Amino acid sequence: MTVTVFDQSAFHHSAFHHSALIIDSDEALRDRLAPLIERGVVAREPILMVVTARTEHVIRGILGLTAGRVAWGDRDGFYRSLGAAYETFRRYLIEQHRAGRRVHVVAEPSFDSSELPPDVSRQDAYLSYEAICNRAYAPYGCPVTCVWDSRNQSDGFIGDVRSVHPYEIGPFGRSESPGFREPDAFLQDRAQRRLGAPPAHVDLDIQPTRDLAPVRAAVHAWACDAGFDTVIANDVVVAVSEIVANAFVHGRPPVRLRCWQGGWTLLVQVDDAGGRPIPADAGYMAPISTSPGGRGLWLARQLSDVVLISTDGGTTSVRLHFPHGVSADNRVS
Amino acid sequence: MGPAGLCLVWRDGDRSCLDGDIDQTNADLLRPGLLADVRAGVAEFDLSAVRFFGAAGVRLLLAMRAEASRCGMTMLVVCPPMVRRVLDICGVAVHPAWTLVGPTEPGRAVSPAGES
Repeated sequence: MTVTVFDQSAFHHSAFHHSALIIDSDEALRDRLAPLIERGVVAREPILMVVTARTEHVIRGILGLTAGRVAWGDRDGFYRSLGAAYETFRRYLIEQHRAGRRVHVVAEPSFDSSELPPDVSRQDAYLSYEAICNRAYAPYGCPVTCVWDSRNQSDGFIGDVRSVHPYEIGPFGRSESPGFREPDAFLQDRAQRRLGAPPAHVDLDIQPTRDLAPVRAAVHAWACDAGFDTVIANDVVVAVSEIVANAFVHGRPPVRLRCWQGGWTLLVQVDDAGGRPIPADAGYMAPISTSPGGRGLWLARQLSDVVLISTDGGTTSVRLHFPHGVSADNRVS
Repeated sequence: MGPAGLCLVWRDGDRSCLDGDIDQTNADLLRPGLLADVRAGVAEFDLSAVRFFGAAGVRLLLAMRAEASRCGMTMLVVCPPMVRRVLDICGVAVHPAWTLVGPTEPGRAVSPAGES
């Protein structure tokens, strides 16, 4: 294990420095995050902090007047739906890279799952994005430090946080994380998880044909009846239409579409009988303009929130979650 | 307005208008005619009346854009918000070969139908 004690020169290494800073107290914030930021300020390193109000308060208190040398990002602008949060950060990094700036981004992911059914965790689903950003964010030369609060988290979850960060900021500085797993391995493991069965009673249970217009109309009407305005309902329609289209193109009939509500969330599940696993990293990497395909699942991940995919026996299932408040916020540009 | 699931295309001088749904069932059918429009010098493609637009629509528009580039031309694409949103999410909205405008924005090459 390599231990680096606040060695700023290491930040100029060509590798993508994606670090976890796992705190269990405000003291840990003061002891580990504050010195990192202070040294960055002294070294005139551009820093963007997108953190909770509490973390901002603690760090501002320590930095004093020098807090003005740090950019404080709008949490609401960055943290919307899972896919949008991941892509907003990525586009920010692209912008900095194009401008020749090497910005240290300090993010504190915090995803409220209160709108979702109790067995669905947005922050757990977000770790799949953390895993893929080791690949997706790497070209832009900006270090990213993710602050995770371990209080009220299971050991298993914190272990997963360590699995998706190649580095960790500990009491003695940044070190390589022995628990790190390559994105493909992490996502492959997740792809083995089984989905619980949909409820026995659902709002829509349709066997679509390849003509998706009736399905789209039905889904739009259902989403509006469930309280989504027509514009947000259109996001649901596009996401669902892409998944159903994929079921016919990459899977095999019969295709089944079920729509139901859980908590303050609209849930949609598409099953096909192809039984062919969807690649574990599908829909996570932004499609390039010359790619002939691959946009369907990307659109679905960007337009919905939690996306769960499972292949069990001969059935491949994709379940989309559209929490009411998150979906509405996702429309705010 | 065309029937659900279909997309009508009509030419009005150097402007082509699309009306309906663009999806994986018809995008490939629309493609040859729209590429021919690009080659023929159609400057404006009006998607104001498009009701559904997803990945297949993006693929279609990118093929048209590539054809415009190849011909040394640029396109003006009139997009309703839902089309613009999909193009933005796919990261293809900004490109030298086209300009995207909203249905009520200035910059359209041809006056809206009905104006003298």
